[in-house]
Amino acid sequence: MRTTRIMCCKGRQGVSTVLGTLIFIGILFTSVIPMYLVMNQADTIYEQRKLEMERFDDERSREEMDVYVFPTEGESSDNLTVKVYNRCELAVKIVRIWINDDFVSTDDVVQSMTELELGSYNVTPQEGSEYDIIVTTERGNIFESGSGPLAYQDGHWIVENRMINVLISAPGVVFKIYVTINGTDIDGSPAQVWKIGGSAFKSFTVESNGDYNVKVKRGANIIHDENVTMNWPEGPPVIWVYS
Amino acid sequence: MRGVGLMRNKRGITPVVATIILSAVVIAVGGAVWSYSQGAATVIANDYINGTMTLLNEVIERFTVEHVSNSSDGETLKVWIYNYGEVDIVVDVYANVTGGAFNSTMEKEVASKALVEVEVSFQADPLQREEEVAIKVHSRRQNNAYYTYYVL
Repeated sequence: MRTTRIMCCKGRQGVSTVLGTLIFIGILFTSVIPMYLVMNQADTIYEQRKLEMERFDDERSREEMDVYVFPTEGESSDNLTVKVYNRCELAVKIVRIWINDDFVSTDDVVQSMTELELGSYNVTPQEGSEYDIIVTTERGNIFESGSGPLAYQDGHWIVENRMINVLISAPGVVFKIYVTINGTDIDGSPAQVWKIGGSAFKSFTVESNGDYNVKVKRGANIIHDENVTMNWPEGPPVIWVYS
Repeated sequence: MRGVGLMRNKRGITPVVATIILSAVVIAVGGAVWSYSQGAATVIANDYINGTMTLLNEVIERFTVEHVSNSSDGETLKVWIYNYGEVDIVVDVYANVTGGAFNSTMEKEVASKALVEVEVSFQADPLQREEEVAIKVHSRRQNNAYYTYYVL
């Protein structure tokens, strides 16, 4: 009898404890854990978007384009053609082409390591005016014409310089660049350049149109041999040679 | 002996009543705590999400000054802002002429992927040729874009 009573009392004493425990577990499962999961989900979304933006910024910084402008139909043309050369690993979408303070919207995509001609664009040139051409990409980069602004004087277009630019990324430190026309070195050729860091660059100003030969030597070895044609104003006033 | 038996019987009722009362109290208090904790957890979670999303929008906001020009009389500076990010932005444009006038245009909305022209008035002190203008575009999420312009 005594034993039974004790058991009965012990059972009753545990009811509140059991109820309290059940309520605690209920609170844990219906409030605390869902709150934790929702917060965790928000953190995950934040980290994911941040990572996406870091990737976007990286892609943006990798965009590299050469922009050239030349009159479409000869030196007295009213129209300009914009030639872009995408030198990066990514496809680049061009959203706008600025000619001074006016812009033309486009949605042209330039694939990696390819060239694309855009236009032509009518500018109705004014005597003595300068035309700055800028290309904007979808990732927010802005590229100016590599040949500088185009000027219109005496009824025809002129550029500041006609140039052959040589960019060397090949392995090595010291290189010699030869630029010749009809077998004769042009002014400044041969030029010795040093590659410190990523690449070596040398620019040659050329006086006239014609077929030029560009050779890059590392020691006694020719590592690049290319013929290029300067044909301003039917073609761009700047030619790039990549070695 | 009789009295003792009566006492025993009376004592038998009290623990049952006590257990019921205690259980009722536990359920009432527990229910209240449960209800409060659910509300509190919802509020805390919502605040946290809102805070995280605000911070996220600040982090993913992207814009640049794409082009700047001025009117021929120098009374207006035109600033084109390109929002190349994925969230709409509200910006204030400040233009500070070196050693000269300071003007601004406030609260211009730029939708995602849009280009917006913002005009800053220099009517009181027109811009002069070859003057240097420092332009700061400040977004309401505390991001900035800068540009230096030489008056043409």
